[in-house]
Amino acid sequence: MIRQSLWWRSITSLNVALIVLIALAFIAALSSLFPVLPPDAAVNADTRESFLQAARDKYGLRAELYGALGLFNIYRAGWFWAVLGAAALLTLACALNRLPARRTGDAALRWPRFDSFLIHLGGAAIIAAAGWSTQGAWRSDDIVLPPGQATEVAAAWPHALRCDDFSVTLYPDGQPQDYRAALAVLTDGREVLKHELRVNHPLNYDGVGFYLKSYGAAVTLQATGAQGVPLTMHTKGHAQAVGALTLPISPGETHEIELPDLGLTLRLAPSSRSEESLQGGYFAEAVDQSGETIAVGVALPGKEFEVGQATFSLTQGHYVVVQAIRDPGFWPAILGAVAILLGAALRLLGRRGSSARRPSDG
Amino acid sequence: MAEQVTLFDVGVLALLLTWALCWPRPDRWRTRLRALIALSAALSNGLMVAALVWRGLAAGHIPLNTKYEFGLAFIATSTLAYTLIGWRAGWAPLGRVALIVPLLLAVYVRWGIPASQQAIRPPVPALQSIWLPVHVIAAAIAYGFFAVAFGAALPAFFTSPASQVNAADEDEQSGGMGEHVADSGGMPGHPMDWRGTMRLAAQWGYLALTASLISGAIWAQMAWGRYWSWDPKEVWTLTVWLIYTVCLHAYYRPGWRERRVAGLALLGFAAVLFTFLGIESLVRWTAVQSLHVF
Repeated sequence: MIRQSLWWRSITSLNVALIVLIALAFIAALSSLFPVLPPDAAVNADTRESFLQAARDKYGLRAELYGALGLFNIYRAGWFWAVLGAAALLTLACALNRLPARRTGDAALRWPRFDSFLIHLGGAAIIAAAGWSTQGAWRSDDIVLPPGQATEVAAAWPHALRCDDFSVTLYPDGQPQDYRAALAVLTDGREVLKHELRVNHPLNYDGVGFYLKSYGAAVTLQATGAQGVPLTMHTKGHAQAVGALTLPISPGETHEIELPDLGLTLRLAPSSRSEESLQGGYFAEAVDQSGETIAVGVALPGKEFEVGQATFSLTQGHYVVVQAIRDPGFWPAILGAVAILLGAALRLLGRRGSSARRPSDG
Repeated sequence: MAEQVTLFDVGVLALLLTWALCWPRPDRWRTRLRALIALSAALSNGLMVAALVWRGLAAGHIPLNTKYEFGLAFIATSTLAYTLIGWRAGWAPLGRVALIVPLLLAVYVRWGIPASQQAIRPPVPALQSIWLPVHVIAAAIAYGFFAVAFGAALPAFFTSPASQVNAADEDEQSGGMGEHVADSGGMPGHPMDWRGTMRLAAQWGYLALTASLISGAIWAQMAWGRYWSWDPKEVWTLTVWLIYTVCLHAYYRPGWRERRVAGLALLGFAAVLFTFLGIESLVRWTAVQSLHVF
């Protein structure tokens, strides 16, 4: 019988359980005492070097030692997950040790330690789920949804998102009280779902969750050439667009929109310092390829302006930023924690009369 | 706001009265004194809850957004836990230590938190979730029971089992202990059952803390798509949970059941206080971002 062997009794012993639990508590407390390497430091050398320089400034020579010990990256360190893995296996062994057994002479199975079984099984499930989340979760970069434009999210998700409307309500002190985006999910260009995306109300579709992260004021520039032909536009950091280009409003920043069809560059700078207001419009300046200014003026939302044979107009709106996440470990982790809760409740409420008995193992 | 502060102040006075009632050791009317302690503790708890409810009505939202409001809830749950468990240790002996926690908390909340941070603050969108009150109330209940566990652990730690019988405590043990005295080995005229009281409070706190972790994880998943983010507050809540897990396991360890278990409960409550009071300083020191710093 495996349960009677020395090694099985050892790994399911109370002493081993106490050692592992104390080690986990110590590591958890220790990990909070050090700054954490940003997640993208593994792929971004600049981020990593910037973090390490800040650590050197703070800790001096000890920074190298802390770094070598993995103290800036505990939650992703191999030794940390090795300890967690060992804890999961030991906890699972303790759960198996509490499976029902048939005593000699008993007709029915007895399960006198069901509460303890639940607690230990839940503990093992949580650690396993945490590992699954760490290895199997996928998180997109920030996805900017301009107003009214379909946006591809990821190659693995065969749909597109479109923000049809956005509204924000503010408290008197200017803090956001609520903001919501009316999203549409498109498949092959066809609308298949509408959803009002809010904080705490994510969109879940086809295995991916979408979370509203932030929003900002945006302006859409529409440009047509002679006889109303849509013009091609592109600007640094944005994809090329034909006919309409949406830009976030950044106070103090000048947008330079190249118009290859016209051989011009259009410079737009917000005249207002407020991200929420375009009342003052944009200072607009058209420059030809030699750098000479050929037109200058103030462009107001809703009013057309012309440069040569081209006609432009500005529309005010909002862009929203969402993040797409797929995390297979969430529900297993919650189920594991609920098992612990149920087990602890059963132990407290159902077995108080016998709770002082000492079990032979952990 | 003024009414809420008045309710709070009267609640603190009731709390102070409860604590004061824990010190006399009368020969004749000890039963009446116990009833008075229980009544006063319940009154204090009711006033603290009323202060929170009043604040919520004035704010138009559930008032659990700030450290001040959580402090109020912590005081309320500490008195609640004492009201529910006080009978287990004869009211007065437990109250002498356990009620110091809500009293000191009341001083901190009333005078330690700047007035600007005591003001009602409307909830940002992330805080507008049904899971917020579940998460925070469960955490406050856990802290309240851990405070009572601390109140039992301190005398358990500093009193050797053999010397726990003394004239001061013996008179308290002769009533109100019920069947659970026998459950943990203590009997009228026998050593005070600090460890049994501590364990019972720690078990209730553990249950509530687990519920708080679950509801917090669900809320975080709904709001940010990440049920666990190694936020310093999360890490320290996990540390607290692990310490009490050790504590509840160690109860079964031969040789640990006496002082070491009590020591673990004291360590656990130190971690609770650090989680409540120290995270902001830790976050500033490590320059780690935290969603739990108000």
